[in-house]
Amino acid sequence: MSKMIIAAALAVGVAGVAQAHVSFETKEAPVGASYKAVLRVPHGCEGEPTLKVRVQIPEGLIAVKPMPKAGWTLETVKGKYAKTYDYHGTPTAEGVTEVIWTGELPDAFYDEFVFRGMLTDSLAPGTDLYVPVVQECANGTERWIEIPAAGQDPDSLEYPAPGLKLLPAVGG
Amino acid sequence: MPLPLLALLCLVAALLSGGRAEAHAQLVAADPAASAVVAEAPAAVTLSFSEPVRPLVARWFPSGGGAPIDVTPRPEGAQVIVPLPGGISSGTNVLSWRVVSADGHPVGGSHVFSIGEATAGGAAAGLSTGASAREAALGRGILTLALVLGTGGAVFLRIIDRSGAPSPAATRLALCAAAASPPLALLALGLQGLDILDLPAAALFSAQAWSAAMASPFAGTAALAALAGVSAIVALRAGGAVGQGVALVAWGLAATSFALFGHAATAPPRWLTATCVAVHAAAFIFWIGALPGLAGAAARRDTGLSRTLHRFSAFAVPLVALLVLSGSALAVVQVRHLSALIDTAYGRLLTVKLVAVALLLLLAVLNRFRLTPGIARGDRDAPARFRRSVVAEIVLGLLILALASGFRLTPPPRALAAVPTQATVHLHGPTVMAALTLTPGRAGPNAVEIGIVSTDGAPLDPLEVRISVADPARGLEPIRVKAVREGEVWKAGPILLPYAGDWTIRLDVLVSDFEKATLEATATVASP
Repeated sequence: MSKMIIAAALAVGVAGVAQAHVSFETKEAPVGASYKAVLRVPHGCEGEPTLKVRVQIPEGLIAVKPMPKAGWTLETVKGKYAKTYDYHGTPTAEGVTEVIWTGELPDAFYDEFVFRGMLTDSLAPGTDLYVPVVQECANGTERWIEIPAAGQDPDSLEYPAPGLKLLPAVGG
Repeated sequence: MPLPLLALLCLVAALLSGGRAEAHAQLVAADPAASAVVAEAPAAVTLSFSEPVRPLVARWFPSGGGAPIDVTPRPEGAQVIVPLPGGISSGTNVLSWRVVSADGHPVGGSHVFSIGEATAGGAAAGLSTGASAREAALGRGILTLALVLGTGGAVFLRIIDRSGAPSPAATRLALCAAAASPPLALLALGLQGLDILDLPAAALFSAQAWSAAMASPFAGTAALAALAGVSAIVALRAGGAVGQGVALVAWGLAATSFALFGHAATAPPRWLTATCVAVHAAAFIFWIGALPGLAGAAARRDTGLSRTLHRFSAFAVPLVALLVLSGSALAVVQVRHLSALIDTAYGRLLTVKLVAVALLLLLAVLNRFRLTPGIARGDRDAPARFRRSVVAEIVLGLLILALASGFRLTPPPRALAAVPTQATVHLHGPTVMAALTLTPGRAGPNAVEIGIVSTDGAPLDPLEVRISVADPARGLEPIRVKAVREGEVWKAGPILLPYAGDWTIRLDVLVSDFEKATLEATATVASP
């Protein structure tokens, strides 16, 4: 029973921190498989509504397809990858490099932005993959783009980029 | 209520409260405003945040560079009221604050404003040359004297004078000096703490002074000096080989204690200067520490005097050579140019000391080549003349030690020559590097200019550059400014740096919409 209380206490802490930053709902995923990214935007910029959410797709995450959102216009920027990847047998050298949702999310509300993509096996399991996000409001921009340097405590960052831990490929 | 149900309720409550949109708190406004000049001192400073916060620390850095003052801030919703403490007077004051926002993240910053007029800011506490600096120098001077007489006396009485009946007066003096060394080391350490924070003598027993002292390099010096004193007592009490061995240990500890502290021992190149200081100290501890024992031996017209003198010379001649060599090396490092021997207070002090040393050397040569052979020959009045000469050496030796303590009060020409017209810092990151100059690089308002290039040398066109300047060692939270682009460079400021010392400079360079480079380096800011 005391274990449950500890768990509840931990949940208090985790819930408190998780709400502060832009983050992914699923925080770990195996390489060599597709990943559904649910990006959680908990608040606007200093009380102002969010008008635009821009996501930069990092190298190694390919074949990205965003999910449309009612009330939001959706754009993608396409570009060349740094190398050619094997996507289910198809050599793939270009694709979506940036996803942009434009709409309005009042500061008092919470929303999620979804895309899926393939975590290629060129990504190293055990490392973290960071996906920089820029949140634009009428009064300015919040850039969730900070990536911890080697050995740096990710909690010390003011505006950390949302990230996920890469797991070894399943089944091989 | 069953516990699992309670736990579940806690969880639900946590999720509900977590569901409220929360960001890190941000400072929205302040009264008086940042960089403002107000006519009269306000009763308090009000910091307004974007959300309710809990204050953690508020620390005042008063104008004039005095010791920081911690105060207890009062939260009022999204505002934090920081009362003005007694030590805040006219001039530019800095309030360093740290709060924790609702999401548990601490956020900090520094708020700079001026009362009456903006002042260039004093020297950092610790670089002051006021009463506390004189007291600290006096404390170190007396400790030096005790070390010289205690450990130097032990070396002479145990290693050089093997007559079996050394002068009781000289032994008593060495024992007293050795016994006084540990308490004097402790006192000097406490005075050092007062000097660092520029506190009055009454604060000698404050925890603040002692924690500052313990964190300073002088703590190592004091510890070695105390150990040297204890070893000297053991050496003087023990006889035979043990006494000789422990006397050598005491000598080594005392000499090393000098190499850990002071602007001579820490001048670059440090390996050279620290070694020179240790050698210099070993030589003068031996020489001056031996004098009372020599005078005592001469007074008693000891039959073994001639042999004792012979052994003393065998040590003294190479040690005096090392003394002159190490002293010259240090003088070259510290003084740089001959003209500085006259132009600067440090140089003049050194000149007087060199004259005293020359006289001392003259007496030593006289002893070595005139009086020592006389004693060996058994001239009747030779011991008495030798004794008078040694007493003169003691007087000169004390004068030299006093002058050497005075060095600590004057900046060496090396440091004066280093008074900059700007401070330049190079900041390196994996992809971006920057050269940042602070003009004039002294405490007070500084214009900032930054050149930014990528590490492969290609020019860079950053979207935004932010600078933050902080002094984490003294608990001063970052002062943040945004740079603006002017042609090839980014400019900001003036940033008001309240005091001299090492400042941590951080640059946040927004390379592209999605890429930010964070660079950090330390800039040394001189006194105004």
